[in-house]
Amino acid sequence: MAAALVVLALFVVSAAAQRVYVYEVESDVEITEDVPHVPGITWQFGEQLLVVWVPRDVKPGVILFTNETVFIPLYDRKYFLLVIPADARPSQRADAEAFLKTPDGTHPVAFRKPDAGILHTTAHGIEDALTTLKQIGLQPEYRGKAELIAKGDPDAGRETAAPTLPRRPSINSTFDVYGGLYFRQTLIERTGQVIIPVRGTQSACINLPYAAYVGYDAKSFVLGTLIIGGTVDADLIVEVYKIEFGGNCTFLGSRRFVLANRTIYLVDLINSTTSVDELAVFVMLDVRSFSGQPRVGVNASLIYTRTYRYGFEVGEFAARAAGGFVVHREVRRIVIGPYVAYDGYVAQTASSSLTLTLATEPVNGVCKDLQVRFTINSRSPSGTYTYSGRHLGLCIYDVYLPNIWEPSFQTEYFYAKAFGGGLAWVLDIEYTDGSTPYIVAMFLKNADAFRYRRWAEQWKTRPGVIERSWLFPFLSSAFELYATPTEPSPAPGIYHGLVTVRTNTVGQMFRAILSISGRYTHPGSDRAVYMKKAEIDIAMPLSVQTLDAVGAYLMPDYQLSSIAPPGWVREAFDVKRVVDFIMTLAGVVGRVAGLLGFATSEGLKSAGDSVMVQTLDYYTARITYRRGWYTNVTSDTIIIPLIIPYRRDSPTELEITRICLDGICAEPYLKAYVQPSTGYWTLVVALVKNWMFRAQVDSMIAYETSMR
Amino acid sequence: MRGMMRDQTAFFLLLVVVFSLLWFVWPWSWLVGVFIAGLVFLWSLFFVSCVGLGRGLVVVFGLVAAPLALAPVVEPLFLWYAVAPLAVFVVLVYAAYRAYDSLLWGFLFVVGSLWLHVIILAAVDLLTGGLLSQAFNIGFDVYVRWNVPLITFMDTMSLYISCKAVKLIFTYVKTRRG
Repeated sequence: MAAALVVLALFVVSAAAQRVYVYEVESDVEITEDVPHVPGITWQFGEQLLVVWVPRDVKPGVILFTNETVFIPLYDRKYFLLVIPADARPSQRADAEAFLKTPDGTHPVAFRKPDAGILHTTAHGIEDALTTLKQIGLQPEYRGKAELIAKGDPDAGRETAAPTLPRRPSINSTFDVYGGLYFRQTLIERTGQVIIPVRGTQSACINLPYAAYVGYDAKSFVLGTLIIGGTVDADLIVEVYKIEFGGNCTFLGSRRFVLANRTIYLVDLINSTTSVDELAVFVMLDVRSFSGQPRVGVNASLIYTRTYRYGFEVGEFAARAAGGFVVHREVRRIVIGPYVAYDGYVAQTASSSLTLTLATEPVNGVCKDLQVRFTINSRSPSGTYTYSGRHLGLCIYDVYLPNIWEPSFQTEYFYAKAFGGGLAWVLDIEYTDGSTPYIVAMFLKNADAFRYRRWAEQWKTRPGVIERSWLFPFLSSAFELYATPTEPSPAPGIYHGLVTVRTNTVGQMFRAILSISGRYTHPGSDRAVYMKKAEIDIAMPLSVQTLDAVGAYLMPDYQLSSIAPPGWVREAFDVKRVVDFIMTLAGVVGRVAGLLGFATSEGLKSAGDSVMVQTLDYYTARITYRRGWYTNVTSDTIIIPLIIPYRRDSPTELEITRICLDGICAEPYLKAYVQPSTGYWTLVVALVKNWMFRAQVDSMIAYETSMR
Repeated sequence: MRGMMRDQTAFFLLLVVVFSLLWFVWPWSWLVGVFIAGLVFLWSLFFVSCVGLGRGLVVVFGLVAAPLALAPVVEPLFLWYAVAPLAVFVVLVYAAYRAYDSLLWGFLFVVGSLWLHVIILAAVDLLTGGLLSQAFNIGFDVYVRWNVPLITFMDTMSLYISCKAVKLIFTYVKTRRG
């Protein structure tokens, strides 16, 4: 039925602009992947109504990590525009799940997966929404407010928020894993068919370039679109292929949608039934016309079903914010983020311990109660709490998020991936009497803003077999940090740091690749100050006495540049040995030379960059990177392959117990798992990877060049 | 203060320590070479002033220290970081030789002062539970800055005491002999 309607849509879409009514809807039902349909109506979108998110309000707020004051919209999952054909006749049907009460009459509404694929569109406001609707060939008319009223209890059967811990899933458990696919932003320069190529250098199909790898057991697949720089009148065509043994692909089917900006489409061809086979997708546009120089960005969000068999398929992600921020202005919104939404979020493992202290000006000498509404990405709620202030000259509020609302996190993560975006906390703050607080400063406790377990790869595991892809997972565990500097600085700079652990590497199962990035940026300045020092403490249930590491810079062109003292500094070390010997003969040994010896030898030692491993105890090692005062490498990232000692018959848990990036320290206890060195039969599969980190979407990037 | 100005060594001690305090705000860049050169230069003047400082020595120590500052511009000069301590040592011995008119005495003055000062430092380290060792081990660090002024203060103070003590011993011995 749905397929027939879509085919019908193909023919109708190019017909004359259809008149539609647009209602501003207050709903007692939250819109999810099941969208409103009006049974019995027939138009180019089947029985479906179009949902357009618009902000409920727009208020001044501060984006913490850029120190900007901007107007920040707040969306509400129960507030949106509904688009319905103008010729739809109101009726009262008993099988309706809800009723849409409009100034033009009441329509029965049923919720299900969208007939026409469009889940929803997002707009900046009603005018923007009307423009978007015109761009997709409709003739919209705003008809005022409406209500969407559920029959019975609207919240019945809905998942309620439950506190969760980022626990390690138990072996042989099956769960949902969220991930993304990424396509290259494409400039539209002509009409007709335009391919949207997958990011990366390899196609999932030997016989079809630019196809993206989906893989096995994908239960849900959506595409998100972003159009900038112009407008496009086009159809979005998604072709689904089965990857045959050997790498050739055979066509399974396709879906065709009307292309609209900031819109999410559900591709029902990829589901639990079809993805029993290994799948790939190919995306293109059929452009009828365009204006300006439009660039079309397409990204995909997927939910996979995965079984955790071996104990090394999951990693962990933790994002933090730390430091003090001077604000001195009236603020209704605080944005903390955005953080990278790393692929592979394992459902039911999200947590947050977001904690901040707000200092406000007292109002008439009194600290009024402060209400904080926590939302993720300015849309999905995670609770509203009231905090009392302590009067200490200023009013001090200790704001603490008791727990994250997992369903909200899942929803926002899923949508964020569809736009290749990240995750941010957006706090809506006001006094309980509705007035706006004047915030003097705020302090973020060094605590997790977001934390979750992540599936380390796009691949599934099979009993008794390990696929070759697992030998070099793209990224296992990651720690992301935003902080204000601890050093005095002329402008309020922001520090952004990232530590990742890849728990294996190309063809070798006894290494973990540590990458450390860090940079200061100053709002309003393009100049970045690269990381100067990093300390990572890593613990493992093995002796670290033989743990060894060499480091290299990851250069902007993705080449590696080894970390070693400059040539003449190295020579100087050799000369120094001779001079030290002469000095020793003269009776001046070691520290006898005092400040003179200290200044020259330490000056020499600290001139060049260095990476060193230090044993803290039997199980813990400290890896230290120092940027020398003489060197000037334009890279903010270093790569350190760690040689994990011994043969291991079971997965090894690595734990990063402490991270200090440029003097900003955290104890994240971030976990990553290294495969055993023995015990599995290896299956060779295609070397295509899509899961993204710094836009590296090709597994063939080797971190080993010129390193032992 | 006036007494200090009369005591040239004390004056230079103060100068080295004050200079070392600049380390708290010194940028982590090629300018570190300038800081090291300054420290070596002032420390050398401080030490040599214990036996007598002339203009010629100021110029010589200036020439010894300058390559340390210039190394980031002319990279081969980094070799001087290895050689400079020996050069300073030789000039110090020469200065002491001029003061005592004997190469052996000059040599013994420099080595004796250095050894005595390191013994004092070791004692301080012991009394402070390894604080000095910790300070030395930190080296030049981009973020940990307290150690350099501390080392400078302790090193120059102990060297001040030790060189004065060695001087006294030498005077005593010479008097006994004389």
